[in-house]
Amino acid sequence: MSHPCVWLHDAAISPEDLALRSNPHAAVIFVFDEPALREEPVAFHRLDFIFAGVCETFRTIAHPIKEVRRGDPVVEIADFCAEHGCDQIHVTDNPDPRTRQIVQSLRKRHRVVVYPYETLTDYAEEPRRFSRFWEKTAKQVLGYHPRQNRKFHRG
Amino acid sequence: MKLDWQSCGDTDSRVRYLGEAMRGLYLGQPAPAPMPGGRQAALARLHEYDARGYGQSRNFLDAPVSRLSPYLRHGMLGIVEVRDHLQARYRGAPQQIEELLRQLAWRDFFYKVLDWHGAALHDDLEPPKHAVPRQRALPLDVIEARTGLPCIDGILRELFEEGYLHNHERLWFAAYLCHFRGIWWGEGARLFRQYLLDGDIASNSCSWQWVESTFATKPYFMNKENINRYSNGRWCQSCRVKCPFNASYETLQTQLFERGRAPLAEEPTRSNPRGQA
Repeated sequence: MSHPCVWLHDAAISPEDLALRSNPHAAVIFVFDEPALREEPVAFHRLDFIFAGVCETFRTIAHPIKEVRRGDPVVEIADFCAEHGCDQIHVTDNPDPRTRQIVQSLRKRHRVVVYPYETLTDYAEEPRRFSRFWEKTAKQVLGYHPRQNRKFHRG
Repeated sequence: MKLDWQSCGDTDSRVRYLGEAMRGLYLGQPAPAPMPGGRQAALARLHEYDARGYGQSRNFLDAPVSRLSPYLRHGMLGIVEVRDHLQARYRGAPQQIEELLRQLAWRDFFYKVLDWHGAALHDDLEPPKHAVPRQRALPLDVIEARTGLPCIDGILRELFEEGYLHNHERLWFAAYLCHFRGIWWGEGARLFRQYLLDGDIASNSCSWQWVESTFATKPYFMNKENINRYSNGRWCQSCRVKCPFNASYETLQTQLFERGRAPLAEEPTRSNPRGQA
């Protein structure tokens, strides 16, 4: 029997996070990324906004093990798994390079299950200009073709 | 190090505790976030927001923009649920929210750009469409909001204190820093990431590169008339300084880009990228 845990990163702070909803009975961890914050400290109000969201989310989770840590996410999540006997890490994807770097590092020693991030559009081309992107995706976003596909993107 | 999140029952205790627990990793003094974080606050804002008129008024600083971007940034709201909520609420009049949904599509687009380029988005995606050299350090007067220009200093104070800027303010400041001060866009993008509640790499770096022209066919810049109009004279009416923006676009084009080597930017209000619906 597997023992999953969920890693909530800073783009996944909600009870509606897909990894969390897919594992309603899993232990959960959030890590303030100390190496990243040492390199680029942020205003306190940013940390408070995030922490308020994490605390609120944790109060909705039934599992008794919910931890907020400060440190290197790879080290802290690995330590969390060892401490609580978790053998799988579930996380929702995010294109943020740091998030993906952490997932790659975790994969060296753990089974990591990655859920897709939400998107409004299916667009396989290289995204170079919004005008072309919108031309191809407006119907997906709006549910209908706009009456006139305006040149570029009028403000 | 484990944080005792369960002891943070109210705002004061949370701020006090977090200030101690995260010491050394933040800028400024511990104080509550200017907007409440969390899913409940996010839903409340979404449900209260009246999106009618957004398309006509969104470029004005006084317009009631949604301010949903911090919640979208941190996953407290999902982009699909925002779209679905708006479509359900304005089912009989989809044109009322068409512009707002297009702005959501900008966010989606920027995510795809980040997904495509990864960490390379931290650097120029394309060569700039001008030949002006760029400095790679933020000037002290910018960091201290003491440039002497009431509009720029006002925008900076808002950034530092509120953690939120209207999209037009973001564009004006970016154009000021890149083109009027000659600072590489990445320095400004970093400043925004540090202070904006919605600070990220995708929307933020793409928008800065759009202003710089490393992710656009021409650089974006504004003049005083544009600032005055869309701020409803917030700064210009009482401003007494020699305004660097007080000229026609053609004149500024020549001044900024050395006799017009850069293509003339489109009239700014017709080409504002967004990521902050």
